[in-house]
Amino acid sequence: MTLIGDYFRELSRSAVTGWNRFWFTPQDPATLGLIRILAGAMLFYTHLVWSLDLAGFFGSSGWLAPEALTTAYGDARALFWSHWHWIDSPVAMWVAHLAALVIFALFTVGLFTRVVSILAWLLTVSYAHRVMPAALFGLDDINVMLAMYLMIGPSGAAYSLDGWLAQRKGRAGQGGTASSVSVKVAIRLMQIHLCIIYLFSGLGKAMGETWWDGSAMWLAVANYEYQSIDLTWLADWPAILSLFAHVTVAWELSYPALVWPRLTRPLVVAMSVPIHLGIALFLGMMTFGLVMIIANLAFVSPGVVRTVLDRTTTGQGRGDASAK
Amino acid sequence: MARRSTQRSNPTRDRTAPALAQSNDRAEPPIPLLSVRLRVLLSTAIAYHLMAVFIGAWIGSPPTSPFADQVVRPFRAYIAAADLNHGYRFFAPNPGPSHLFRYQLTFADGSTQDGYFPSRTEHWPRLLYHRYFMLSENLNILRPRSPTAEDQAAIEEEALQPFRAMAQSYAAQLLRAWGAAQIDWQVVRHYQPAPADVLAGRPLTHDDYYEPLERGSLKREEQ
Repeated sequence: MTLIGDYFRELSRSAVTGWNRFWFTPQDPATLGLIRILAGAMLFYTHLVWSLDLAGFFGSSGWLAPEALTTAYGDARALFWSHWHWIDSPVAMWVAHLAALVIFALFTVGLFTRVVSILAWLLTVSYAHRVMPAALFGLDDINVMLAMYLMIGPSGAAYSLDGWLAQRKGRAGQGGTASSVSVKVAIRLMQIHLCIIYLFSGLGKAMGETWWDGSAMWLAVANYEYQSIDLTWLADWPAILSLFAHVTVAWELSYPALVWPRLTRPLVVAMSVPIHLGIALFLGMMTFGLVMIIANLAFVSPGVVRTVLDRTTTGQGRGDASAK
Repeated sequence: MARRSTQRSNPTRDRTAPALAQSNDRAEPPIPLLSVRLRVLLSTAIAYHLMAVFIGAWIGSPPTSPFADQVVRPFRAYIAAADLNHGYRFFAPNPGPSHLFRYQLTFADGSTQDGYFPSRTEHWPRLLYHRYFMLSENLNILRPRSPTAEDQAAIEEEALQPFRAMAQSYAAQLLRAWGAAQIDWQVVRHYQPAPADVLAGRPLTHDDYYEPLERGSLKREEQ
């Protein structure tokens, strides 16, 4: 009994220590700042494109008439709050939309970030709720995820106009390197959310016979509506196509496990680039492919981000490995 | 949240190369910056949120189990409000055929105009094209399925109501946008060809790969 008691005491002590270390040790905001710039630009572009048919998608008498949505999806839609439910006149719609674009632009450059990060998340969800689920796809899922965690963490602490202004006023001598617990929480949430996404994406594919017989990749590249670059010449290479299918499933299913060990993490994250670039370039979903790569940056250390960005901006590397 | 400033390492003295990836933090000592009460509060919120993310993904796409339907209850409002109700089943379980919304507009003077969406030649940039693509794909999701084509014909009109409501909403938008008097529409399924067909020189847009599904019409005065 003593052995068993000791085991559970050790287990609980280690779990608490590990939990605290995992969530509540401070982290440099460099990675969060980089993700804010890239995700902010994606949010701005995503919503800018809505401008091309704003009344069609968000007006009460557009593609998605509220009564049609209620008939199709029932009362569950009542939980999908959106400011678009209250705006109908074309002028008011454009004022609201332009204000949203300004907020996304401010978020991207990191000006008034604390406030605009909250507004950016609220707006991202609000736009999605109005047209959900009829006009949405994976891009919107990831946009919402990134906006949420960039709101939770101090995403304007690094690589932002806020940081630059504070530095000019002598209020931020660290140059945006001040580590904080909220950075760690935001990055950890992003990382775990990403693991859940890949887990379910992989499990979903594992239910389909075409991912087992390898024909899934052919069905993807031979889909005319998805296709952006013609890869149907691969019809003559079924082994290559099926290998791509198997690698995709294996990578997605193993991602939640292999992305955590230090040695396998760079390999797993690096694999996200060709896989998502493939989706971006060949399956016509440039935005979705890019936003997935942006999300994967959550697993890149702040030290690497600073080394690369400082080298890019100043022309020399600045080893900052200690920044965590 | 509490913050702790850390002195940035001197780049001229720090010879350590940055780790390519973030470590597991195994070597880091625990730094309890926050009070126990705050950590318990945060931990509870984190656990609830991550459970909501997991359950949202679990029930986000069919099929779901009775157990999952029970578990989701305390999370349902939060999942919906925070937009976490996504299955993330990209191209799963199988990459299926596409669906198009084809239509013919009839104007007051009797002239007609054909169209369809999504259109790779008309809709640009690609993200806008994809929005229209999702509109037409959504109709397929709403359409009840039967195991055989014969059974499909026997599907009751009531079961098609969600599908028809959305299709008529699209039709009404096209009527308004073009100022037409009537629209006749049809949802069409576009299958992918077999590799052998493509190698034989058949284009992806060959007529044989299109299957007409439901159809309907709407007049301006019916709106």
